[in-house]
Amino acid sequence: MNRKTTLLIFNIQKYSLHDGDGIRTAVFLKGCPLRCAWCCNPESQSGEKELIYRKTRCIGMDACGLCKQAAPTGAIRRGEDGKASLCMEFCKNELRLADVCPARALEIEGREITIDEVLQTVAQDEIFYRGKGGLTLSGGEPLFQKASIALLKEAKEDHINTAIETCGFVSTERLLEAAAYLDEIFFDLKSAEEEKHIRYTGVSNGPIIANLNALKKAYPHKRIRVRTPVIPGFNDTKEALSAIEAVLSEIGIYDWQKLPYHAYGVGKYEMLGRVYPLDQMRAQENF
Amino acid sequence: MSEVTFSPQEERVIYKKNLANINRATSLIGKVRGVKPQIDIERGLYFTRSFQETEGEALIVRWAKALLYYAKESTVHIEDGQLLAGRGGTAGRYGILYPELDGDTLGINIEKLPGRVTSPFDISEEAAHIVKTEIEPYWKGKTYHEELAKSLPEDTRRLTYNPDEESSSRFIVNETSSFRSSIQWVHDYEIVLQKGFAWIKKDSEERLAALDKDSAYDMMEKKPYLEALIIMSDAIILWANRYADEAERQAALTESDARRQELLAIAANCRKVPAYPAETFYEAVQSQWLTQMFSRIEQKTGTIISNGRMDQYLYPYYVADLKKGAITPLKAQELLECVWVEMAAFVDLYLSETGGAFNEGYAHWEAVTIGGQTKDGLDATNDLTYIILKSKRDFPLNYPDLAARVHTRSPRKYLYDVALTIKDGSGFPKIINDEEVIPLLLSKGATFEEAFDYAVSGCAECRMPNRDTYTSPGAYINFGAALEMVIYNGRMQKYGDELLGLETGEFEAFETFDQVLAAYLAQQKNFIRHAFRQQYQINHLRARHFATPLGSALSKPSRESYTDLHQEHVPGGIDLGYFEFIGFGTVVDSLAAIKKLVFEEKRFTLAELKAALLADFEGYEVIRELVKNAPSYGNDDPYADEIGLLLDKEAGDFARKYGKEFGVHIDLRYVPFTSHVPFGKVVSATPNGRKAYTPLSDGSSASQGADVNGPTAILQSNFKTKNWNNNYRAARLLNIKLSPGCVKGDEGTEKLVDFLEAFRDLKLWHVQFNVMNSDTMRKAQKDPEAYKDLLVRIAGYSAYFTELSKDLQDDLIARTEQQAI
Repeated sequence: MNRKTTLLIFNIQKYSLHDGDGIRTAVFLKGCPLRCAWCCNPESQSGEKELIYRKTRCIGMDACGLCKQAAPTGAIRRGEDGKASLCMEFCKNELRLADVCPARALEIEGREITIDEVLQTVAQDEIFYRGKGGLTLSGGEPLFQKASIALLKEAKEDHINTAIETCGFVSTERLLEAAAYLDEIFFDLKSAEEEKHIRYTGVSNGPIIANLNALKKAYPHKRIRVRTPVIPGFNDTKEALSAIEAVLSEIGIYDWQKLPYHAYGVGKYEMLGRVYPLDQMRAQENF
Repeated sequence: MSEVTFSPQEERVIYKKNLANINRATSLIGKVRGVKPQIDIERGLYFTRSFQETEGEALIVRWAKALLYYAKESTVHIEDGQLLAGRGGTAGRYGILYPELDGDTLGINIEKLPGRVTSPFDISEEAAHIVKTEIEPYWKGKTYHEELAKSLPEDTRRLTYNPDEESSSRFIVNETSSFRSSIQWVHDYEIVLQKGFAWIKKDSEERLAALDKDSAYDMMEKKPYLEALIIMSDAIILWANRYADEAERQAALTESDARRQELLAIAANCRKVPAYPAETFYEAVQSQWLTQMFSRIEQKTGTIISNGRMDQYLYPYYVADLKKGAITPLKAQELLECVWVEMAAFVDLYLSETGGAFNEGYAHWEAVTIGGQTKDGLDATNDLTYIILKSKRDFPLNYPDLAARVHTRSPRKYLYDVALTIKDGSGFPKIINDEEVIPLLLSKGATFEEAFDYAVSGCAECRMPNRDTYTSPGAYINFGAALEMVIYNGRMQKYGDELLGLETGEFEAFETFDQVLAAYLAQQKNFIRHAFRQQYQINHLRARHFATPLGSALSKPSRESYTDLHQEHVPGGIDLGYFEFIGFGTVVDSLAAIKKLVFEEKRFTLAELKAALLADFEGYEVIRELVKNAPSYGNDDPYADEIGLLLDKEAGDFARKYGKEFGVHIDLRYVPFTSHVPFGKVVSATPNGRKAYTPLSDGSSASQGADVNGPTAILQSNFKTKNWNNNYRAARLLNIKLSPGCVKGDEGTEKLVDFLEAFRDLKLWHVQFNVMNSDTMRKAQKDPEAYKDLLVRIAGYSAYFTELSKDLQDDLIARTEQQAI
């Protein structure tokens, strides 16, 4: 791997303020092993490029209609509001539709970018970092793509401060290798209850807790901040949170932050033609 | 959904949260806030009467005599509860007349004023009668405005004025010298505080006695100059003493012992200052206030006379009082806030609709400068700096405008306090960067000492009180109109078939982007060419119409050369002029869209684009979406920024080549006031997707809503469109709108400081912030009564949102709100 190695990302966000010290540039990588029911970046989950439809930007079929002409027959029709109505089953692989949309209502989530290009973009805002800010890898799960480690390594070569937001569900080896090139690690621990964790995220929390433990042992002085999104109906009870706290104190981590739930993901699911899973799950729990 | 974060100002306005600090001055606010101003005609009337008596005398002497007439005859009024004296009118909020500027159209404009959309005023019937029967008739045929309009070459005039009787503005190549008699200015207040006007008078008398009576120059030039300074000094001393008389009269009448003591203190102050040196903080504040108020009477300094470096020249008096135990920080704050209220009582009245449209929401820029460096180049922040910043957070009034100078050794404490004040959300302070301003001033001929001691004046500009000598207002150029003339071959939709610009060829016939660009640059150059012709004439004419004995007395080069500041050239000074580039983002984005979509991607032809523009994009929504999504300025995108850099270069090169002929350093600037709104009103749809007759982009900010890559990219684009190798440049105004969530909590303050430090190290000239949720502005539009206290940042000043026109309100809402991610 070298600076020409490519990554699949879905966004680079400058002036990122809530993911580490200082002003940062966040790089959002595609692909995640988890399927959290409340996910606020569902466009990050798939490791492939996909079409997204931002309906609010659509200027209507009467004024435009270019997507309908380009799409397979029946895949796009005029909705009741006059805007394009997509059958995502048919459209999601029709990436060329993004090129015909003048309003950028149809866009491709995911683009290849070389490590070099990422670092050039990060360097553009170096004057804002003031020795504190820098690069944050986010996603998705940034370590889902192996090239992320090369990116971190090259960033350190350039003396860029690095941080990551990880779900912890990666191979221990990869996590520890990445940690060598990280100044700060934001590590998500969503629940201490395995069964619930599986139900709401699709995977067991066993490897996640084991990874956190291994990380702390390998890098006892590394800045590791554990974060827990507090999700109504999932982990918002006193007992559930105490259980997480107990796991953490056993590992020896006391830097723990609870993040309030927000429903930013709802609209994005709609754009991807998917149903917001948390609503569905809550409905099931209630009945 | 997570909760919305509100700024402290929004909390005060929406939840009627109480103020942190209540004092005497807060109880005075009600007299000025939300009150429709009244016109007080005394200044206009007494100047007229005096000018009738002094015809034929030297202009500077006439001006001094008019001041003396005013000092003798004007009504002196002290507001109940005030601790300071010195006003130009009796109403709570008042504006005064300067008929020497535009007295010829006074009658017509007076009738329009109460109903005007932008900054309306009331006037009594009796006063209006005097204006029409006594003031206007004297000035008709004599005003500067009339002479300028007559003297411009035909083709220049066509771009300047409408062909109507009043010569109203065409908003293309807009001269601003006839709605004010000087550009923004700042006096050397130190000489007043340290020596006083009695010293200026004595010094002038001694120099008068020493003149060579055989020398015609001494007798014809120096003598009237010195006589004027003597008369002017008598005038201001008399005026102060009349306030002392009034305070004593009120003291004798009041039943309150406490108020009597206060009035007697006012009387004692006014007997002493500004005639003699101030010795206490209270005297210094009173002396400075009487001086700046008398300066407002003397002339209409564009954007109001600035306050200079208040934390510097008042500091010795504060420290001395503190040592004696005669003052506390809170008492000092209260005295300053009493001045702020008096500043708010005076409203800068623009009679013409042009002036009103340029200065919406009762614009004012009496900038108080804080921070920066001392004359020796050391950091200048002191206790008063922090008291003034605290007052800005405590005291909910949009006066005075506040400018915070920053440099590479500004203490963290200062930057934090500045950031905290910005976070309050009412738009203060604006930030001015020593790291850009000082090297430029040095390169234009200032000494280190003068450059270190600059004060902010106007929207974003700077003055060196004892070195600057150029007072002529410059041209504001509508480059959106230049772009339109490329599309319609020298014509504009608004003005039909009239040929106004150059015939650069049929738009549809251009075969390459370079041809389009060349056509635009030809139109751009043509506008600047006419602006320079205007300016040439303006420099000559102003010297025959305006004089400023007070301003001259407080300027070292003027005193030493016996030359009024409004003369074309004052020996020993530095002459820094300017012209303004208005619509930068609009033009850059339009050209980038044409280059990308017509010539590179061939999405549509120039003919199709022109058809879309003629239809204001109705039926051409696809084209509009495409151009809106093309590369645009403000995103750190080289595609657009390189076009911007070229436009800036061409304009700057012209100034470098031809400014010399004037003996004036004519600098390229990007400071709009609110002119981007009236300028937009004459420009039809533009190729960046902007609808016809809506505002152009403001200053060096991005087009409304075009900056989608966050505020760091805005600063970077600003940096990358500046030609650093040309010093024929000065202020660039930059507006950034942040959502309060971006600066939430201590972490938010720290990151705002990081942002300010990066701004400083990028050596950008100016930045200011609106920290507000756009939703709050939308609510204020719907329910103005509930939101009447809501302040917003416009262009180097803050104004009450509900006092703005719908156009400007919409423009503010349309500016991109930078969210925290």
